[in-house]
Amino acid sequence: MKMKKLASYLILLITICTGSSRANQISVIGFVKDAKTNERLIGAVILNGGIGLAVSDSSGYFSFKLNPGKYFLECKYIGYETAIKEINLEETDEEFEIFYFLKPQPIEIEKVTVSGVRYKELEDFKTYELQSGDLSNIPVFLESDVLRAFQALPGITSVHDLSAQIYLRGGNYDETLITLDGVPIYNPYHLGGIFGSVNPEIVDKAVIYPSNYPVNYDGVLSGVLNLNSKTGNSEKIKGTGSIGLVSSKLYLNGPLLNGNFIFSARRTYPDLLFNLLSKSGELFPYYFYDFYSKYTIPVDSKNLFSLSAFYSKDIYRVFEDVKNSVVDKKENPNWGNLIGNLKFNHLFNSGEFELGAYYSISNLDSDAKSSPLSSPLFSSAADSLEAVHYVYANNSIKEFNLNSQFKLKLTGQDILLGVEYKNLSISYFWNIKEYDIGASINGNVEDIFFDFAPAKFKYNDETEIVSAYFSDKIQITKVFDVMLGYRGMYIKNVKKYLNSPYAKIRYKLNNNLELSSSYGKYHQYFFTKRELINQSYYYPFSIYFIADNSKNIPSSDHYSLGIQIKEIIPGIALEVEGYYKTRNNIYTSDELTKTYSYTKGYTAGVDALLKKEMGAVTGWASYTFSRTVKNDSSNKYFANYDRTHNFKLMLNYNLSEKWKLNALWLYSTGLPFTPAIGKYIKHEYYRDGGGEKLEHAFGRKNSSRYQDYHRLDVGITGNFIWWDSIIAKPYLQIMNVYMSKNPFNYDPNPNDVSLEDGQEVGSMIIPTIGITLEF
Amino acid sequence: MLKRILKYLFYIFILLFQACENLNEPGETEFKNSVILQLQNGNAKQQLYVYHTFPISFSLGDPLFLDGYSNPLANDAAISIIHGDTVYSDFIIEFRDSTKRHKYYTNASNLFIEPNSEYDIKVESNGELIEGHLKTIGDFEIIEVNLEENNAASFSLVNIKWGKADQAKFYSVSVSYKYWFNDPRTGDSVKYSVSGYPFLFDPDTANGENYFSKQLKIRSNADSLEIEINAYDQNSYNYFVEKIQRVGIENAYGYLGSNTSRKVNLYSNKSE
Repeated sequence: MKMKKLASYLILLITICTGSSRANQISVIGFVKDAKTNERLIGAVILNGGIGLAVSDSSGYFSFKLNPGKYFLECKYIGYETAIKEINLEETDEEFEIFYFLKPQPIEIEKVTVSGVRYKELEDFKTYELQSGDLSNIPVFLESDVLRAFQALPGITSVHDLSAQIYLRGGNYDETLITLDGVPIYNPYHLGGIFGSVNPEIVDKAVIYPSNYPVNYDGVLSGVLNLNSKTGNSEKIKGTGSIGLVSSKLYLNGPLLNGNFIFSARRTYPDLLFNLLSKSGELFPYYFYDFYSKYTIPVDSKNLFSLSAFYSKDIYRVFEDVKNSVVDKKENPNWGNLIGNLKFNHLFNSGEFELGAYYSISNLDSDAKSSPLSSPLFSSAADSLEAVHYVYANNSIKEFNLNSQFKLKLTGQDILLGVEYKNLSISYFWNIKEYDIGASINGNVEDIFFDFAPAKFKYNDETEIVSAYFSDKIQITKVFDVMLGYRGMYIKNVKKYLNSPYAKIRYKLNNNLELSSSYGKYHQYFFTKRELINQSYYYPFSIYFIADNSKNIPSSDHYSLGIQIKEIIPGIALEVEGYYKTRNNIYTSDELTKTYSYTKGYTAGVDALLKKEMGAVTGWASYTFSRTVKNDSSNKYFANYDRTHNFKLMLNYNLSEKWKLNALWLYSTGLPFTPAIGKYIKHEYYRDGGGEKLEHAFGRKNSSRYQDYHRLDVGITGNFIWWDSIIAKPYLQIMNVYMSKNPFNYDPNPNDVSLEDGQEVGSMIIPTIGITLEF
Repeated sequence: MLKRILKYLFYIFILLFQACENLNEPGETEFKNSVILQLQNGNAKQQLYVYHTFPISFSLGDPLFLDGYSNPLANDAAISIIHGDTVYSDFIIEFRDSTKRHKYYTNASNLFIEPNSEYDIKVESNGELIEGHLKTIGDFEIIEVNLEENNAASFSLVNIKWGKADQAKFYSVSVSYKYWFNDPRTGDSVKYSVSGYPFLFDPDTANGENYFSKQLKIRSNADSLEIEINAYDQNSYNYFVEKIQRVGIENAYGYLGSNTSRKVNLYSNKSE
């Protein structure tokens, strides 16, 4: 009865709110641009008397409604001077246009910003964000990298020093959707997961939703990381050029015809240098490159077209150094992504309409073979089939997507409505006979594709997904708002409807303290079959599978409870969010029988973040307590990537106007592994030596842990103006300064005689030097 | 204010209570035994190996494996192979060599394994019951053997063709050479043998629907040679090639597999 009453009140409130929007309110629309470059600015905030009205979207547009009257509207954006405009809305107005051209503040080293610091009340979801300037403030490994930078934030972990993969609040790496302007990138890595494949030069703002994420995304259990690309300068051509240890990068943007463009290119060059300097004739076998280009045409102040393309490629010149062999290379192993994205935005009275289409491909191809040059007697192994090495692969993941959505801003309500059609197809075919590829990488097929992948594999699948979604943020009172959302999906191949409801309430106790709580349900119909196997730390291409059984689609319910204090002590903000996620139909594997199944589990944790954004010293300290447990019928164990305690300290210190120091210290619980606790005797086949061999007998799954992980990275960045027109930004970064010995692998040897044996540690100190020139 | 904040923080941390459980206990090894049995079609002597699992602190060089110590090579096993209504449980222990390091169980009497037939095994050892079930592989025949003329002095070419065996996952081909010579010390005629390295033959690369063929390079200086072709089932493939640690059996490491073998002998002209 009470529930009924409550529902009636809720409906009444919504009706009142909706009804009030029909009063004579006037739509205010416009966009925010950089006054110098004419680039559209994403995330600028429009305020009236300190109260947020709107945030500019990915196209720089904003819209809101106001009653007739006189207003002084502020527009604020990090790194820009605040602009104030006076507007006078007459009752006879239907619509009012206002455009902000913000002037950049005098050159200064950018502050690291983590979302949620300012104007948090305008954000509907828990997010962490990094802007383009932030990357230079976070120590890097060889290349500045957006994905790796996020590992410095709470709730996000990695599995070893070299991995750029993101493990978000208890999810496996495939449970975080990584998108570029909303387009999914499958396998978004160079060099087997060491670098992200998106050139950081093109990223304007990167936002991660660590738990509940907006209804316009779908298909993952953990969260979403969206990389928003920059928009081009409409006045003149500008750009940057970077030279680092590993690669050089070029980024250009400027006017083109009636619109503007951005273009970026990156290529590694150790192969070119090595080949040039090598006297032995040996070749460096690996390189990668990527391109991104976007063209934007503002048809008028209300209509905007944009077309973008992204292409990345890694090439491994296999068999270059196979001696005494005939090498037949039709195609070297290569992998990468191709994305085409078309968008149309139309700003109308009290809202925005968006229409988009994209095509995203991730592929891996290879057709190379080496055979012995001469054939000795049959008694030699060289004449057996084992001597012939071949790597044939033709794998692709393709997604085609058509989408449309409306954003409506009514008084007290922000409404999002959308529909989406998605065609997802996978095609895998490989035949690999190679355990020592080019003598450089020693890896099994199963390490490359999925757990226990066979050497020969052929698989095709396809599905269509039709989705509809809506969300409505309702400002019930000045201090209390509710957000309700829903996404419904139909998965064609399994003939299954999936429902993803979402709800969030937020209550401001005062100007300094805010509480929030949310719930969401998520499904993942496209996933890898991979747990982190101890030996696997190299992932050039993960195989994704489409759920083929309606009963086995992974799902998760997210519950969260958070508190935000803008100033817990002067100048320092605190965010704490606790979360609990159920996890159903989660992939798990059994190494003993090399089989897999689906199990359930949970993740529970708390992220705490202290931030300081003003003063000579800025940065943050974060602590995460998190436990991710899988629970199959006979066993309960930690997920392979579980790190119970995670502490991160990120500091920036302005040495002078020209130089800035940064430091990142990480301390976390070691990863779990399955310990060898006994031995047994097995038999081997002739070709492996034959006879009896010792094999390890393992204990309970993931019941031991590596020693604790800790590492300190430091760096210094400069900022100089040359000839009044070029900004030079030299940098020196040093990773793992005190050469911490962090285990990254567990590979016990039959001669090991204790549980502690078999942990392989890395303790390299890795310096990086380079310079970026802005012109 | 502070009290209020602490109160809310407390509520948040309540979420974690469920997560405070200790899962860091390695426990015991999953099984106490390893069992290896390859049923060979038509062979009266079936070899079955039973070992106990032992602590990680031991290695193969330890005196553990010598008599007089707590031996992991199980000699307490009760073994049964069941085929229809017939139960074979007459197994004995034999020592493989003088070091007494290796032991196996064998029945030298009447256990002839039939092709395409169902078998069950039961082994009780170390207080555990290990069970397995298997359908044996089908038989096959060598169809043709041709010696090709070859100008090279050191080797000859042999073309060999054989039929398919039901359920075969892979074949191996190996060559054993025999040399007869007189021992100058005793004046006796003795035999010297050397084996060719076997290779796996993947059925998917077969060039015919009902047979497989392979050209072998053989040494031309041997007095005789024996070519042996073995067909192995899926379980053997999973154990030997895929390195799966438990195949076809429950409650132990090891495997239960099936194979069948055919041989052909060739004699050199010089021995005539």
